Amino acid sequence: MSFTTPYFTLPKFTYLKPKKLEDALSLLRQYRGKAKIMAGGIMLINLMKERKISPEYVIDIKGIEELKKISKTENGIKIGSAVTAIELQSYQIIRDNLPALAKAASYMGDRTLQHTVTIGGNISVGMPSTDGLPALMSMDSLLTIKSLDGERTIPASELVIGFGRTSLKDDEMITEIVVPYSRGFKGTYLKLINASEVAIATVAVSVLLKEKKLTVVIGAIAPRPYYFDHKSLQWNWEASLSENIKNASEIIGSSVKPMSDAVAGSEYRKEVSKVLAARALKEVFGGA
Amino acid sequence: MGQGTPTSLAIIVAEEFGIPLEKVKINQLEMVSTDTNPYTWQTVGSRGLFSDGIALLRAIEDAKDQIKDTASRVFKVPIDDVEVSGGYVFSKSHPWIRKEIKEFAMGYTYPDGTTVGSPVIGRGSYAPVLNTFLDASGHGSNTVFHTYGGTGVELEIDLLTGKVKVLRAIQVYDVGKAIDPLLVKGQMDGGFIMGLGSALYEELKFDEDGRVINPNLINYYVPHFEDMTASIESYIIETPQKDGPLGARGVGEHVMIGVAPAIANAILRATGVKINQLPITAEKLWKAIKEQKPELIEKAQKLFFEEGIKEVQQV
Ligand SMILES: Cc1cc2nc3c(=O)[nH]c(=O)nc-3n(C[C@H](O)[C@H](O)[C@H](O)COP(=O)(O)OP(=O)(O)OC[C@H]3O[C@@H](n4cnc5c(N)ncnc54)[C@H](O)[C@@H]3O)c2cc1C
Repeated sequence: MSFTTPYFTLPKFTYLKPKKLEDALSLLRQYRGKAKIMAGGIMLINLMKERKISPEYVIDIKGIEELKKISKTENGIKIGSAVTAIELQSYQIIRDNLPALAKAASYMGDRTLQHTVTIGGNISVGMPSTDGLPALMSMDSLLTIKSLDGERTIPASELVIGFGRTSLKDDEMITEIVVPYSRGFKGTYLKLINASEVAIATVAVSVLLKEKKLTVVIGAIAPRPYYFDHKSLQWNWEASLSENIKNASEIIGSSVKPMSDAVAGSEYRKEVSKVLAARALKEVFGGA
Repeated sequence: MGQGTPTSLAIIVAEEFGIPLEKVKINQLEMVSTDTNPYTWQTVGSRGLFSDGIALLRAIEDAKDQIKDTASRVFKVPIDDVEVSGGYVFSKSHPWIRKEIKEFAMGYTYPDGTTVGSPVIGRGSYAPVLNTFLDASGHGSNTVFHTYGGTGVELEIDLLTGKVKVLRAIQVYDVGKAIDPLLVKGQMDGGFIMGLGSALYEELKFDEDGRVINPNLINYYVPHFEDMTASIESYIIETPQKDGPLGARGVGEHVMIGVAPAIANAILRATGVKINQLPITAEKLWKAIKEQKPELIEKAQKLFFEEGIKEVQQV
């Protein structure tokens, strides 16, 4: 039996696995436009099977040690782009300091996939349903992007520019994610899906609270996540918590314009955004 | 294939001859190869053990007849007086005249090397005889047996999102005779999970041109381990099926059928909301609650905001 449908075969490509970051960047430049980075490969391989992309060269970055490191510095926590979803959940420094990210990582596919899925790949997919971006955005994370020409830094909120599209140039790579907080903040990540925890989200909500700073990011409902903070939510630190949460939930409901797709309809997503945001806010303020 | 039918068939052979189960070999790969084996139809209609079991019992009968024929000559007793059971071939009237079954397998060999009889190969087949096609109005008899049973569930509904979680399930089925009770329970647990998939998750979706928009297992969701209902209790009733193998009737698909109605009825009892379309996704249930019982959503919101939030120092 031979399978000819695109779902079962991969197009021909040359597989490259550099050990050094500089080598990866030169290969990206050399084969500019014809090459794709492979991190976990979970999304890339599927896109290739479906012939949505057919790169001539696949550059595997999992052999580059410096992309797999996690460290704590004065500026916050630095996470290499090839750190896996399982690692995000098991490293103490992530669990203790960035609980929302650890929780988001626990939703990135099932347990088996999570050994392979990387944080860099997860956000570079640019799909609404990936869990890394809302979590990173709520923590005002920065992305370090490198090419042969040098390095630039962008806020995580500027990565995705449309459905499946990012602001990365085709010879650029995300090397590191910097989460500027490392202590003293509370966060949570809630997600509604129709089944258990391994399915495309209807709505995902990431909330961060640090002193008088509050952010709420709503993901999975539009090509780009929605970002709110205490100002746009008109949070009144003097008012009662239930009044604040009710008001914030209404503001979120009237600001988002969710899409309708195979997962859920727009009206439902709007309602669930309000409900999950209210529950997440209650959780971070300890109002349970 | 996969349901454990060969194990149940082996149990039947062991019981009928009275030999240890480990002496019975059923080669599952050979069993499904029509190059080397007789044809059996698909494993559909939960008919596997029922049909193959009856054919097997007939083959066992045929094999026993051959053994009895040889034994009656060896024992020098009439053929009606020979019985094969408990691992032995013996004379009913003179039970001390007996030999182990294996001595007859290739025909019987006397101590001096002379032989009587021939190798034993039993044959049996089965096809339902009283079945008819259905007529234009849907009447007729297109099934050999009916398996009855029932399912009950206990579930939790998130009124604000419509998400259902089944906490507990009980199912009782009359399988006639559980040849291997553990396999029957496996079929019942598995049937429940498949039923859960069609009740809550599985739905093919199409675009305006009729193209499937969820042609993969990411968007066409089937239950995962995480979706397993924490407590599934499966009970077996045994009212023998007179024409079934050792009284057994089929079980497998039947179990699926009760799941969705049980879930829909539990939702109706809990909320008064009627849903007559599967799957009952969170979105569908939320819409139905909003249309049929909006006061429930209001009540849940009130509970959340007015009683559910403890006032705390915000900074
Ligand atoms: C059944 C299933 C369910 C899933 N459910 C979820 C879910 O609910 N939530 C969720 O978040 N994820 C989920 N995932 C995983 C997710 O959708 C992506 O497949 C995964 O996160 C991609 O990570 P990766 O490391 O495998 O990336 P890859 O597939 O290797 O890469 C993805 C894309 O990013 C590019 N890329 C990779 N690394 C970099 C980099 N460092 N810099 C620039 N570009 C880069 C690649 O060239 C490619 O275009 C699911 C996957 C499957 C198969």
